[in-house]
Amino acid sequence: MKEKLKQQDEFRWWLDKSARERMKVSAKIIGSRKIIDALEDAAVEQLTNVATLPGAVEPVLAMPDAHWGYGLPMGAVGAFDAEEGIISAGCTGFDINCGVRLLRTNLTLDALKPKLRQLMDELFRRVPAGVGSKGKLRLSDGQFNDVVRLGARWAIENDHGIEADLTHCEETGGMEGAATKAPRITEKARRRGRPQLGTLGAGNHYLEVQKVEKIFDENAAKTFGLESGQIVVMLHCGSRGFGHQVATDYLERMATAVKKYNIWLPDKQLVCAPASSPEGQDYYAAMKAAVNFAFCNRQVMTHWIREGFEAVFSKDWEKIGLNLVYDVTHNICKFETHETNGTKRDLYVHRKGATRAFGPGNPLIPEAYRSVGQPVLIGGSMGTASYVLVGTEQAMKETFGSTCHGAGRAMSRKAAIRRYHGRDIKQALEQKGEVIRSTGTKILAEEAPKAYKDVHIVVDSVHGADISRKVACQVPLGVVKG
Amino acid sequence: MKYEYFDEITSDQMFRAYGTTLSEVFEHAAMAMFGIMYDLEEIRIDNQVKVEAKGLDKEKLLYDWLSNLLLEFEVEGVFFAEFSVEEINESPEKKMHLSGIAKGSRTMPELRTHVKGVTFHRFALERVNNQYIATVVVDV
Repeated sequence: MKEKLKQQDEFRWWLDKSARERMKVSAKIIGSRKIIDALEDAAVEQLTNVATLPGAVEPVLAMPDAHWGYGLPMGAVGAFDAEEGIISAGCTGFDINCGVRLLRTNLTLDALKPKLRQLMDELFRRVPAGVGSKGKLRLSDGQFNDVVRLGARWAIENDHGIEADLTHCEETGGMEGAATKAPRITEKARRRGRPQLGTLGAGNHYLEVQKVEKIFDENAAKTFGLESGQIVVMLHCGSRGFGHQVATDYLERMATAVKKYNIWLPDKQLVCAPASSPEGQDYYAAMKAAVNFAFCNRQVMTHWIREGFEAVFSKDWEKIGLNLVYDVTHNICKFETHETNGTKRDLYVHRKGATRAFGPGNPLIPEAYRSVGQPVLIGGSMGTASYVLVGTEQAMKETFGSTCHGAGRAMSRKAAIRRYHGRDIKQALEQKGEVIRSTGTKILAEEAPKAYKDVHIVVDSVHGADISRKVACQVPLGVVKG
Repeated sequence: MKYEYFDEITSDQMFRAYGTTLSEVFEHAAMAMFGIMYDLEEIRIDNQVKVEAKGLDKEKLLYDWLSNLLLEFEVEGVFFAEFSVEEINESPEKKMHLSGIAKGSRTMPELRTHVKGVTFHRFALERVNNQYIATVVVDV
């Protein structure tokens, strides 16, 4: 399928809908030639699968971090007409509202360095990590309902943060209209989710203490409160078992809906339902509950991170300036209005491993940032680098206001385990001066930096295509892994 | 062979499980799934959990079995290593039901990654030459 891609310019590739039968719309890939050369043919084929779904809006998109996943490639955007199109639990995937948040500090490396080990020990102790990890919070049924209804606001109302944290989150940390009860939220989802609020999880999720290494855009950086040499904290995690169970429940329900509404599927994972159908709307309301759980999860952990800094530096977190820069989600389906071919259309935009990147002036961007655009947080692989980007007008015109989400895997986990040993990885990173805290060393092999694409090349592609622009690059100093 | 892993899908993990009976292929698929997260041999069994599943056909039953095992693993905090399918039956309405036991320990082994969910991508349960073959891709 890759041979049918037509290069439009240095960073754009077009796959015409004539490439394959049943494609309703064409597809576009953002990336340099190097990115395209490394992209799996199966990932391109998966884009064409999405383009066959009812109500797909041109184009189906892959970002430069895209790779072969299940259903939709990881690193893709699929937008569907809100009336004639579908909502897909399969396209959104399991880790609903997996996302990234960034906290700034007023610390420099000199102040941090003597205390870095102590700080990483403290953060590792306070933020529960690992497979099946359980949180320190014990929620009643009623409290759980409030968490999924309110999102991060629940944490604020329960002394785990401040009001300003909410204004610095996508969706202000919570989507309205979330389902809270059966049958839309199953008992299974409640059982799985309730003990997991306030847990990092495992796999590719992490907590990093980073240093701002380079500033690319002084004005945007200043607006976001970032400067060279500054210490920042990045948190990457999602809705944990609650979101995974919501996805599981609705994959099964949508598998039935596909038959009921006679929808042809090229891949069973793309199960969906008409956007306006009860199945579609029930999923959307249940997905919002998982979105809110994830926002609340990151907020609760933010509070413990602040407490960790307070314990190590013996002063209030406010004096350390541990304020939220922003919180973005990169796994979600959202109702948004976008202009396509000169007409405004209501759409359900599925971002699976893609980040919203709204340009300047958008009312959904916090007021303090509105003149420059939405902050976009890109988590790199362990031990490499992360970025802060800013959304652009071009993203609004071309990618439904979306950009990449991270480095993207280049090697499967089993292949990484065969090639690398966790202890060697840890040693190599520690020789570079990084402090690694994890539940074991095996996870480090799977997450080996070289198992991922080069984040700099990924970011250069979205910058080159102008669907977001580079603001700052950060390097890790300390990592907590599940 | 009970099961084997395939690493062609970059971001996720595919495996195939084999069995001469339906019960056996279900048990081996469970071993393959939990074997992604940790070494099953490391687990010293001291706990067990009853797991039920239901589905309109064999494939859906397998999906429900694997998904429910992930649920019970997280809720009960037991690191499963042995699985036995006690009974699979079909109701007069052609609905299938399974009851099984998952055995393991609450002592945490060294962990690799986390299986988040069982996907439908390439999901299949076939019978080839008197052998059941389950193909599963999990989100990790």
